[in-house]
Amino acid sequence: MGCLYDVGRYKSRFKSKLAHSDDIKECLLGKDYDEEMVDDLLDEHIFDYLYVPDTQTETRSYICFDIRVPRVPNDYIKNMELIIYVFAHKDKMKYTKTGYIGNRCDSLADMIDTAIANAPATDFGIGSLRLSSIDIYQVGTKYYGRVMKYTCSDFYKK
Amino acid sequence: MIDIGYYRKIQNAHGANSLRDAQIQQIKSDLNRDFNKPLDCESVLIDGVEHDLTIIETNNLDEKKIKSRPNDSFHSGQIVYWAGWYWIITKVNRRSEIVSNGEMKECTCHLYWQDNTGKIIDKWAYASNASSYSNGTTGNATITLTANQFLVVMPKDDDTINLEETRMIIDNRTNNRPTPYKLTRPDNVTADYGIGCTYYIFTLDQRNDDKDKKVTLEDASVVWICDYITPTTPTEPTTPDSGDENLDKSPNCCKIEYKSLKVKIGGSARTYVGSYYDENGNLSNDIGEWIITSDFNNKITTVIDGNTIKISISEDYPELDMETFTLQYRNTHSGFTTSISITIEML
Repeated sequence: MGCLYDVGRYKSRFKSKLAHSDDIKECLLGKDYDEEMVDDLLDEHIFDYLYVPDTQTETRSYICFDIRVPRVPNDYIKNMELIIYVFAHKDKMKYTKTGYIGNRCDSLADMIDTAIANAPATDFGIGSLRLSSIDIYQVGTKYYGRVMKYTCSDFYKK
Repeated sequence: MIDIGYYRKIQNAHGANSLRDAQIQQIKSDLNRDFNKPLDCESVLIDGVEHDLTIIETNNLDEKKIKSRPNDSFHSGQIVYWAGWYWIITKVNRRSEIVSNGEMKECTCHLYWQDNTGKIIDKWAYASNASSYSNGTTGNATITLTANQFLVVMPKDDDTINLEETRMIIDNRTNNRPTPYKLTRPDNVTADYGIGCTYYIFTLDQRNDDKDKKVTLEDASVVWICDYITPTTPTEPTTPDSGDENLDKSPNCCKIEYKSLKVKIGGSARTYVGSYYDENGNLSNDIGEWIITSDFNNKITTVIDGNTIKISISEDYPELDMETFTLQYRNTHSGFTTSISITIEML
């Protein structure tokens, strides 16, 4: 398989990690979501590319992510970067949940970091994903959030 | 900062907690890498699923020793298709830390019989001469006629475990008036490992020209069935229904209730609930049987609780995107079935 096979594989695995986190599902869908249809419901909130919402009738929260390969230092290793955008409508920014402190985006970012930390080390690259930076992120005038970057090294080809 | 996970991974020792674990992982890795190199490595079907086995000759041509790849396994009672023929796994070494190893015997016969609903059951089996054993009914036989009884080894499953005094034609290749044999001595004790094989003694029996019938199967093959009965229940699938409250509760039919006919790779488990309405249209308490038909059954995760099955696909199998499989629910008492087709999609 090609060296970029991992790009799709990382996306698939990361989305699965999000979909299996009860805290993230509750934060995105509310408390009374239908567990049986959760995958379909999450399709409206989680995107594996940088989704910019058009005019919305509902005020929602979003998680968008993508993969970069910023550097290939040699023939055996490639550097992988997972970029995650977490943003929510400003009307829905207030959020409280036991175990988390901050607004909805703060909590959601913390939940994502927990999901990544709980992932087996074999899921992403050699070793595990390492948080490299967190920044603020603004979409238009109504959405606000964070952008998080995780890095790891992986074998160039498998 | 040193990432110990990195060093463990490049040394094939990821997850190892001791030197022994690391050495075992190294051995497994080496074995797996070189598994295909020897001439006795063969690609086979075990219960219809493709596996690699090392097949080693023994002093008996009809008996082989087998070894699996590391992290693969098999169990006794499974049927192996190899070299254009069927083999039954009769012994498995419980010590399987690195590889599974065991023995398989060449099947000698393909047996056919009917269950109590008239459904024709077929199993590959290994039969050997058992004339020197007691047949289980006549007590201390002092004179034993030669070749009048056989020891038959079959996979242990719901179809074979409850056989009682069933009559069968052991050699179905004889088309004209073959000889029936009757199950006289079941042995589910001496080789009972929970799963595995059944060992039955079959004894020569009287032919019954009125009841023993030659039957043509769906694949056009012709076989003899002893004590043939006309099937009393249809096996055609009834129309599946979605899971709303307006279920058709017609008598004698099976239903599968569901919310989605799609399972997402790496997504949450989908729930399917089977039910059977008896001849009076009442919901039965029977626990039915779930059957999944696909070329990748080993990649489908199922959790069965009574008449409910939860199905999920691990994120490790992205290649299953847009594949479909059939989920069948069968009421084992009545024989009624229903099935639905489920599509696998990326999350």
